[in-house]
Amino acid sequence: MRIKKININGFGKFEDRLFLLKPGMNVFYGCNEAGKSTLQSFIRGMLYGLKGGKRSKDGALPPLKQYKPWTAKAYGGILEYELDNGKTYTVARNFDRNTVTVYDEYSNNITGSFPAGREEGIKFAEQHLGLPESCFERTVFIGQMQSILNNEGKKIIAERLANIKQTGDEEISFRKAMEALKEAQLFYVGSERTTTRPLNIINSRLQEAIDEEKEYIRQHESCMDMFLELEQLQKRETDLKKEWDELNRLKEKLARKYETEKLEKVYKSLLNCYKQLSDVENDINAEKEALESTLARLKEYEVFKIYSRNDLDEMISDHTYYKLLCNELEGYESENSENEERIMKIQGEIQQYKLFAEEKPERVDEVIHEVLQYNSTEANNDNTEDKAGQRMKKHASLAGFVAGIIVMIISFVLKPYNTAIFAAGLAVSALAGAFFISSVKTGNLKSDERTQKNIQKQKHQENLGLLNSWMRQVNAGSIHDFIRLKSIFQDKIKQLDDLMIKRQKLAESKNKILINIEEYKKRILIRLTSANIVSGSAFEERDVQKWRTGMETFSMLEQTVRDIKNELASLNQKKESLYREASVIAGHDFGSLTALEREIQDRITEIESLKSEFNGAADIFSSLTPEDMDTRIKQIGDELGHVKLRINTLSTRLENTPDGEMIQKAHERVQILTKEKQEKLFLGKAFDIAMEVLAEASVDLQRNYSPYLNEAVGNIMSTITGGKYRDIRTDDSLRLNIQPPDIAERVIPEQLSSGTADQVYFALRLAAVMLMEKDGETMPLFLDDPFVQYDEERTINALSLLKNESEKRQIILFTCKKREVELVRQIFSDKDINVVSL
Amino acid sequence: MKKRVLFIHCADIHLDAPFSIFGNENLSSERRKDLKKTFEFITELVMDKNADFLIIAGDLYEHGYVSRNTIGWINGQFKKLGQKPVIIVPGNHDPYVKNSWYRSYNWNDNVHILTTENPEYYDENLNVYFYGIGFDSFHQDNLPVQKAPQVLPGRFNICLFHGTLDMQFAQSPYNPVTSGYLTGLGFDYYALGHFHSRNEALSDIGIINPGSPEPLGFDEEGEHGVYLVELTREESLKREYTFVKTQQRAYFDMDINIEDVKSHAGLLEKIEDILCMYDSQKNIFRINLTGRRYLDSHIDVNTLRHQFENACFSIQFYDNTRPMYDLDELAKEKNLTGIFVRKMKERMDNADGEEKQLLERALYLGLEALLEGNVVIPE
Repeated sequence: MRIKKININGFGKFEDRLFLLKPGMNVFYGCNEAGKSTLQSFIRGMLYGLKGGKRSKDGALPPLKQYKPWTAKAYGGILEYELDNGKTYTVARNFDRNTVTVYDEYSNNITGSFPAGREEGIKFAEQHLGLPESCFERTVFIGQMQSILNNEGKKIIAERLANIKQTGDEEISFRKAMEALKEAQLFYVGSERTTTRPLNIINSRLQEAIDEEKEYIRQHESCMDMFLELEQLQKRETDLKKEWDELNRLKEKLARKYETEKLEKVYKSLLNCYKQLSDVENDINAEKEALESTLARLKEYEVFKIYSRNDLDEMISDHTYYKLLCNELEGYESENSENEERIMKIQGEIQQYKLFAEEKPERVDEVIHEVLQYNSTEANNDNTEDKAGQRMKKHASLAGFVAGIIVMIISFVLKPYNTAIFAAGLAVSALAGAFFISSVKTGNLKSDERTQKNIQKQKHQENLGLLNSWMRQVNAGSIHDFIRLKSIFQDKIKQLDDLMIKRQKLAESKNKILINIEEYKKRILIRLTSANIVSGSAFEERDVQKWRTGMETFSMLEQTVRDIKNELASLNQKKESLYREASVIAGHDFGSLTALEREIQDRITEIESLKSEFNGAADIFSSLTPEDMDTRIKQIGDELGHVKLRINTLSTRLENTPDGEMIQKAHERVQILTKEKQEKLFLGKAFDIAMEVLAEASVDLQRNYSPYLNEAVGNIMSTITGGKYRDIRTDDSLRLNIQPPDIAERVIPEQLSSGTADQVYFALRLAAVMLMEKDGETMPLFLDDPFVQYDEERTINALSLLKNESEKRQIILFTCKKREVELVRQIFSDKDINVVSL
Repeated sequence: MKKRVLFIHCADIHLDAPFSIFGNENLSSERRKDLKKTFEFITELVMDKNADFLIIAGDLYEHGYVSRNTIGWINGQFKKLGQKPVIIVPGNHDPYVKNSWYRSYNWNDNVHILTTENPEYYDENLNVYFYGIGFDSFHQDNLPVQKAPQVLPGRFNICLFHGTLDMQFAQSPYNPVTSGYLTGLGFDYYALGHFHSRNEALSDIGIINPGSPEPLGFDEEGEHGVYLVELTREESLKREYTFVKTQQRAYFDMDINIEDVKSHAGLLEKIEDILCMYDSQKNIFRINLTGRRYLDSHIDVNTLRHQFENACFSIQFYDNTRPMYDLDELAKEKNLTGIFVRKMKERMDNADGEEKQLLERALYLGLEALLEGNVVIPE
């Protein structure tokens, strides 16, 4: 690979810069900060991209941020390179957008033809250079003072060296053998990734066979289950049939029983009808006889035919009134007699006290009044005990008054002064004073009346004489008897007046009654006469009674006839109804009771016949109702139906289920294929082991890169050091040990001077590149001031080495030393070198 | 009271079993027919010997494979025995599971199946008490718990047992039991089944395992048949056993070293000579070719099989020969082949069994690839 063109749009300090490179030596000269490292970073970034992210631990910016253009707008550029095969490629990157495009020599965009990594992006450089970035930066990309490799760098290079292809017969035989094994494995076995190889075919067939076997096993199990179920169902069917038949027989018997019971009911109903009809017939006959006799009796009372019930009621009413009036008349006469007797008695008594009729009543009353008044006044004046009492009262009152005054005086004398005693004295004297004044007043009034009394006494004597004369006429013992007799006389007069009024009223009432009596009598007689009970104008109560009895008997008989006729009609209706009922029950008409009787006899015979058919089953019937039986029969019938259906289904299924050796054959197929699979797996595993061990053997063989590497490192070091260091060896981990001249023991680089150590690692890097690119792409060398620690001689030697290298690879040397540029010009004097000043 | 009984004791017939070793459907069908022929022969033997009854100590048929036709056919065979009882105990291949034919099929009246639920049967006419210990499932870690036997003196007491007897390993999922336990039950005869090779080592104490009447695979070489047993009780019990060979075919598994064979014709001749020593037309052969192969090419076992299949009922070849490489010499080489051989040998030295076979195969594959440039495997 060689870089042909570097076109920077914008990268760090660079903006729109173009660098054209030559195949051999290219020197970029510039003082410090001229942009040498930036240019290197651009080349590396164009090939592998720039890492972004955060600052590193030491605070350095990530490359993506570090090289952000200072002024240019575009962040990226174009790199053109050519591979050993002569093909040219152009890479365009925009770091801002993180886009990369790879074009081939015909400007075709071939970006998509390269593998892409998640972090690495499009891995065109890895593919073209044959190196990942980690290896690139540790071999061909030698930075300022960075030749020395740490352990990680050594490990990466060692792994890379172990993986590089070998040359020669061994490599060919290894590759051929591996290919043969892979091919054979693929051909005879196959793998999980293949689909049409023997193992895949066997697996597929085995799976089919397993599925088939499973299906047959399922069918087999199902068949056995079905057979078992079928056996059980057939047994069940037999049991159910037996039970069903038995129940149907019982049902038949039960039907007979119910038929008999029905017939018995019919028989009983008919018998009932018959009995009722017999009774009805008898009743009809009896009623007819009764009707005849009643009609005969009714004829005897034919005279009452003209009367109605109202007549009877009127007759009773008339007669009742008639009797009441007669009784009333008797009462009046009796009362009249009593009244007359009382009149005569009172008239006699009035004659005995005629004085009161002769004297003026007002005079008599005046005399009595005056006498009585005078007597009363005299009695009051003669009361002496009353006067002495009056005097006693006066004295006592006065004494009380004085005592009260004394008490009050004492109350003033007493020390201290006592209000209570004074008040008591005051109260006693006040009361006694008042009482005294009252007694004096009463005595003065009595003495004024005494003069008028004497005048009245004279008049009294006169009246008393008159009164005494009257009292003797009526034999009164005292004035009070006289007054009482006078009062009795007045009462008798009054009573006599009342009796006389009553005599008048009684006479009037009697006349009215007599008129009414005659009226009723006349009406009664008319009826009695028409009934031939009386012939004259008089009648007796028994005649009326006889008429009433006759009338009532007639009515009663008439009612009886009606009743009998009604009863007869009712009985006839009942008779017809019963015949109809019997007809309905029996299902045909009956002309007579005899016919019905015959029917009943026939039924009895039929019932007896039926009863004989279900004798013995009565116990079962008692515990089983027809509904139970029907339900059970239905259940059994249903179950039987289901069982039969299931039997048919299972039988059909069993018939249709293959019964042969399929399952064994399927199993045998599975076994054979399983065995074949195991054989293939065994073979496949044997292939795997063979390849694994062969690869191990090859790696072991490859580990022998050390002699080649040692030789190359030795040669390079010998060139640089002028033959001082030739014997340099590396182990598997690229740990170096050097045989210094004239020293018995070998040393490690760190034991040498830093310049020599730097040269050893430079040699190792270059040797590693040489090994890595064997049979591969020749890689350019990027060297950034590599000779800082070299002395003049070793610098010249190194440049001479590079001159040789530049024959086959591109070298891009960055330096800040003019001397080095001069040396390059001097050493490469016969070569066309490219010196670029930055 | 009957003083003597004569009966046939068989077991492990495995009717309708699959045969996967043949790789040929016709042959496996033929083998199933062989099983039926053998069973038919046994029932005929019962009649021929006028035995009193037939005992089948388990695995009469393959529950997972037996067809309805075969079940019907078996019952037909039993029917041929007339009144002669057939006493069966279910084995681990025909256990008394839920849908067992022993349960669902309407067997002849002379068939008596002894199960855990109903382990005994007493035949009054023969004066024989039968007691069976069999299988209710495909595996039984312990003997089933069932009604204790009623072993009574004065009658013949026979125990049918299907399971493992006196095995070294403690845990067997197939009715593990010791002979001491069985004899402790006090039976006059123990009719065993389960193991396919016959065993009469304990015949003195009345224990016989007849093995399979028809061998079922290459692990069942030797003679196969049933026992005709006679029990006589006079003053003491006397047992007499007669082995009756019943097998239709025999299995032969043999190695043939072909190091001395220099050509394909020589190989055929050698095989032919060996087969001549056996009744090859009737029997079943598995031939492992061993030794260093001096032949130029690989041995095509399929071609070989085709060449001999008409001469045998069944023949299979396995090529276990080794190519003619001097491994020791190759291992000394400094090149890739040398490193490969050394590494392979190193691995093989630390392996054995199948792993060693695998490594050996890998070694020869690798060598073939390295030395020949390609790998050819005859199919």
